[in-house]
Amino acid sequence: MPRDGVGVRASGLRKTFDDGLVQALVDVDLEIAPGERLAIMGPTGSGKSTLLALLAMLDSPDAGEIELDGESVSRIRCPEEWRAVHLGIVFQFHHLLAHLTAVENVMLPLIGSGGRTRDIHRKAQNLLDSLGLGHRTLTRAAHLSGGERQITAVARALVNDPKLVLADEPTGSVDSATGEKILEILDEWSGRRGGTLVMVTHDPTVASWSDRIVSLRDGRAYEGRVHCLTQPTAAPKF
Amino acid sequence: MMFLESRNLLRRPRRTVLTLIGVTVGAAGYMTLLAAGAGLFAEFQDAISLLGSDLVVQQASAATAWTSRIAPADIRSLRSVPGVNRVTEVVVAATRFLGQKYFIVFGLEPESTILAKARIVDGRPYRANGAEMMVGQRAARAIGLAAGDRVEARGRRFLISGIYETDRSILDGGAVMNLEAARSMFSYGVDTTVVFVDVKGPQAIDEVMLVITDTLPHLEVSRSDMWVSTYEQFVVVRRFARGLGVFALLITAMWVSNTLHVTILERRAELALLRAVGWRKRRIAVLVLREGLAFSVVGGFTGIPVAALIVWGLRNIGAAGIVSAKLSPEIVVEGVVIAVLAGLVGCVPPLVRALRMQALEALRAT
Repeated sequence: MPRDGVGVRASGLRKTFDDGLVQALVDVDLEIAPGERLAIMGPTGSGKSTLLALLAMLDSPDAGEIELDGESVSRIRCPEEWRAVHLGIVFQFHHLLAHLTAVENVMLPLIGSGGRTRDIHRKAQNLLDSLGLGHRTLTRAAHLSGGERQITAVARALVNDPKLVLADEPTGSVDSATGEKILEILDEWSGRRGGTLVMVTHDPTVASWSDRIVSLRDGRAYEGRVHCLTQPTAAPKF
Repeated sequence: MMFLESRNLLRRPRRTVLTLIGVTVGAAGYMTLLAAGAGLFAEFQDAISLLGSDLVVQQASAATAWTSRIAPADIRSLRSVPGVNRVTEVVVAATRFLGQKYFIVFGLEPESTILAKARIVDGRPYRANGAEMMVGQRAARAIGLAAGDRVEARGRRFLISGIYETDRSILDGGAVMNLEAARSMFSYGVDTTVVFVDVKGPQAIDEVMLVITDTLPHLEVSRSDMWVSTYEQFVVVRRFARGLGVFALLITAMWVSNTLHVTILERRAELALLRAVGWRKRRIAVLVLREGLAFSVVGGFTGIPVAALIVWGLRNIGAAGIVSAKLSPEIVVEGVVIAVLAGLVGCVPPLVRALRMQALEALRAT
């Protein structure tokens, strides 16, 4: 199996909100091997989504450093370009554009990077076909069911054939059958592409699809699924 | 390349129509105001051309034809200038008259060429007895007069001897009467307001102008085809019309800006998502500018028929026909170009807002 994913290393990440009153992340160290599937678990407000946003370069840490494929994100001159080429993001709430059809939503990442619209359309169409949504490609997002929207959002994250997918509660707003399908899609992508998958979830069943689990509690990271926390766990060595 | 832009415009019809209305109204307003200014200019030019004279003389310091005063001695001096063939005295009075707030009355000599070139559509020419007048067809229609009617104006009773038509709105929207009657009625005494001068051949025009300028410096002489363009009042009117047009476009720019601004705020999540999936700031800027450009171009062009409709209304529904706008191709091109520029200027504030937007914050806001 090809291991073409992005290696992720984070060290000493700190992030606060509201002028330091809320500590979202506290000295978080994290290392993810290329092609690894990591689940990040933790209660609401534990800093999971904040960590994902930092990894996606949608936000920047107050302290600490993140490396993607060995390169510090502070040296990546155009995060948007990096995301367009290497990254797929699945948001907790699908964030589809309601006035666009399913296939048009899937096309968006590639449209932003240029290229022939016809080719991009064909690629997005084929992807939706393969995910079982071929019959709904021309339906506007506003008229898709919740499950169809989330599958479309997953397709949008995969359409650029990314090396890293960050998924924030990808199954959190859908029924169990759709959730399982979404996991199968991500699993298939991970297996075929060898990409790195980082998935935030509350659900232990979802987490069980991953190779490894990191838990966050009060902004601190712990190796494994943690119920009662005493000591932070050191980041794993690769 | 217009993938998202076209869908944003076509699939959000309410926003699109509202913005287009703003640009259309601004563009149409600008074109109409320019057309009105140009029309007023052209009407007077056209009316002067009907006289067929070579030169127009009026008091040098007079702001308008109806405030000009030329004494009989000056008329005699003009007649004695070498090369002058004929001098025609005209009294022009703009006044509240026959119930109209702004009405132009021409006092003409019986042998005036205007009378010869006017078509009598009802009745007969007036007699030079000071008790009759002819009314232009547009004015007659607006006031409700017909040949044979009797009217009282400024304490005098007049017989409407006839209704005339010259195809010049400024003339057809007024009335003509005997020169002496006009002098008396509008208290000009023995003075004249404007004098039209015919010279003996085109080669003599410059020489006659030079003599008049040298010997009668209190008078202002100009070629009849240039008279209106040198007329300060028309210049002011045209500048005023253009100024109002610019104001209308300023409102347009603000309308576009406000609509796009609201749109940007409404679309925070959308723009943030585009940033999140890899759209660069430059591409977002292109998106906003293209949408603004589309509004401006389409709004500029839809402003043309609206302006044409308003101009038609001014020409055909205007009471006395004083304002007769002319929508020339030059005005249309200028209107569209300026509307596009106004729309693009209006894009700038929302564009800055969009580019300052943090992707994560916007995503969290939904």
